[in-house]
Amino acid sequence: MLWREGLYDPYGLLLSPGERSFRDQLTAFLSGYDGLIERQFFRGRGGPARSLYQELGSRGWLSMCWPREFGGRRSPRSFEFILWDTLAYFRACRPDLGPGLIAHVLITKGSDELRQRVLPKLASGSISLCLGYSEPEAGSDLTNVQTRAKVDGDAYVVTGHKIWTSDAHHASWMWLLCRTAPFAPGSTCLSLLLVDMATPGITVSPIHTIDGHQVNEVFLDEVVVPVANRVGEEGNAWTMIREALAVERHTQVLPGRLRRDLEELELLLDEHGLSDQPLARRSLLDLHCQLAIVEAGSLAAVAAIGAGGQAVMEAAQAKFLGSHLSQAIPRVGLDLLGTAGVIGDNEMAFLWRESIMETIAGGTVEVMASMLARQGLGLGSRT
Amino acid sequence: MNEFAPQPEQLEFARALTALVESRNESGAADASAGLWTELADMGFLGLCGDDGGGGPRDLVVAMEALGGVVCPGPIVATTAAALLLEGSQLEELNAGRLRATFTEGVHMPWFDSCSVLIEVQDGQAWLAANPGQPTAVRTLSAEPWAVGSPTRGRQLPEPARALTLFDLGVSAYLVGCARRLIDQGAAHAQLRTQFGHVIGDFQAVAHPLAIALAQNNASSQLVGLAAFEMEHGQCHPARARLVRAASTNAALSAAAAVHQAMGGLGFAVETGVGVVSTRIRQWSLLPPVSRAFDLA
Repeated sequence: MLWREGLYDPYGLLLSPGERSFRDQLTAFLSGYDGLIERQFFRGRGGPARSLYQELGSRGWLSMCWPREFGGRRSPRSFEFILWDTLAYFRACRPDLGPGLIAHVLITKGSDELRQRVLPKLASGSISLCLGYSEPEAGSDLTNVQTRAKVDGDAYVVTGHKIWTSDAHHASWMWLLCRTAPFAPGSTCLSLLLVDMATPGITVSPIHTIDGHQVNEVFLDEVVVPVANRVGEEGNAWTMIREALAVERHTQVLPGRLRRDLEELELLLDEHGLSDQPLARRSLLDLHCQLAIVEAGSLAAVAAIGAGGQAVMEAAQAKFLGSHLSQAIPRVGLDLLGTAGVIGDNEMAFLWRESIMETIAGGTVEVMASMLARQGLGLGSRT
Repeated sequence: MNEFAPQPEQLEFARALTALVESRNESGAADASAGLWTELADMGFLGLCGDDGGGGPRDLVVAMEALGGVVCPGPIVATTAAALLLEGSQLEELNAGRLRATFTEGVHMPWFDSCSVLIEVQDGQAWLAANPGQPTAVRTLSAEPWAVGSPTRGRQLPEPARALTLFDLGVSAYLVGCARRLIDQGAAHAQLRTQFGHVIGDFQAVAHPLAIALAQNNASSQLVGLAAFEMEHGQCHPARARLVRAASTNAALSAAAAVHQAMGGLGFAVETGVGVVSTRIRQWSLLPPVSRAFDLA
């Protein structure tokens, strides 16, 4: 294919000199970095990934798009996309939650005290966070969160149960979505708290997943959280996180990851002498078509965000199409490899297991389709 | 990051072309009338990407997507691509709307009756046909006037790669436009048609396939725009253009299927015009040259 032969760079023409220079620096750094472990991208944000985040942070790359008054360089958001997309291609790490989604909310809605206390640590990549969102009865319907935070003096006392919490087993802090007074149902009483994971009353229990990874249940039993750790106004969390999620969504399934997945498939087919079979060629064409439209859509989302828009539709489109492609690649791969595909721990077998969660986590494809239907076509009020 | 989205002046030109086709009531027609062809020429569309056309690939794909949206008839893609191959009096005639061109791979000749220039394409090379070889009119899926024949090759046309790349992008853009027309029609139907006490668009099983079609088609439009941007910078390899055409074809065909499903019997009936557009999509996805459109190499 063209890019394997060095004939085509999907972003080449679009990059400004500054963006190209950054990508070159990043690529050079990653090519010489010996701290990566195999499939690190899929192994969460602790351990070697956290070490890598700190390396990135030491170069100012985690906070480069932040406003200057908070220690950033006010680089365009396209730099963030280039950062995480390149890291995804290198199978290095997923976007760090702290400097991305969490920092963006803190910068716009956090108190001065909270910003001063937390933002430098996020910029350095030295602390790991987990998102305390989903609960057993609140998945796609996140407004059904039941974890309660009651005020007691200058603290909240928090009790509840979170599930499917990635990285909780090595996180220093939890970004907790909880219900505050007057505890009415729906989205109006939701608040955000930053919770120190070392606080007494927190229990983390592993949920082992079929790709060899781990997510967690987190039990909060009268956990005391200072009121000063609340982000924004009480009851205003839903608006904050919905806006943040919508914009960060375009980095959830990155084209660089998918390009790498497809390259791995092509390498495997080469190894098995299958590349020239007509069925393989036709199947690869279909996958390349899908990758091309995912790339173009992601770039359009980045451009729209760079122009100051929220790009909610574009981000939903990117998540929807990208997550389906993440499943299509190993499905086709195993079809073509046949029995050989299920032997051992080859890349397609691993991706087949791993990609099952890509259409579910971070907003299911059904929710994305509903957003597209509602906002793009005015359909689907029962969704 | 550089922008590749359509620019305001491109969109304005596209709107003017749309208004033209609709004002002449030629949406969905099998072939373009002489009057429409002349007016397209007067607007500078036919020779847009030729030497004196003043436009480039990005202008063309934005315009072509709009024309797909009104199901503009006739060999508009082949003729606009031929503007990069012809010269002298032939190019003048094309720019003036007095010459229509079509491509063949040696057998099938789309809109043969209304075309005065036949260009044979094989393995990336192109020749003016010296003799069409006793063409016979044939029925086609979308009722457009094609012919079959055995043309003989005349003068070889130098360096056709750019024209053929533009052709693939033009077809892609047209398909995107057609598909968007269908999606909007399907959504409009789903907002009105009532069953089980609700408009059918309230049900996910109806809304989601249309939303998926929208996502794929929007992304195809963005891909075509990106490829046109690459072409303007001399960096759209012909294989890339073929990939774009295959991707746009897949998205458009899927959209057509989703809309037919959403519209049920109405989509199957002639009166709604859904069939005109869906068959147009299917047939235009196979406009020659196409034999290498689904080949990766």
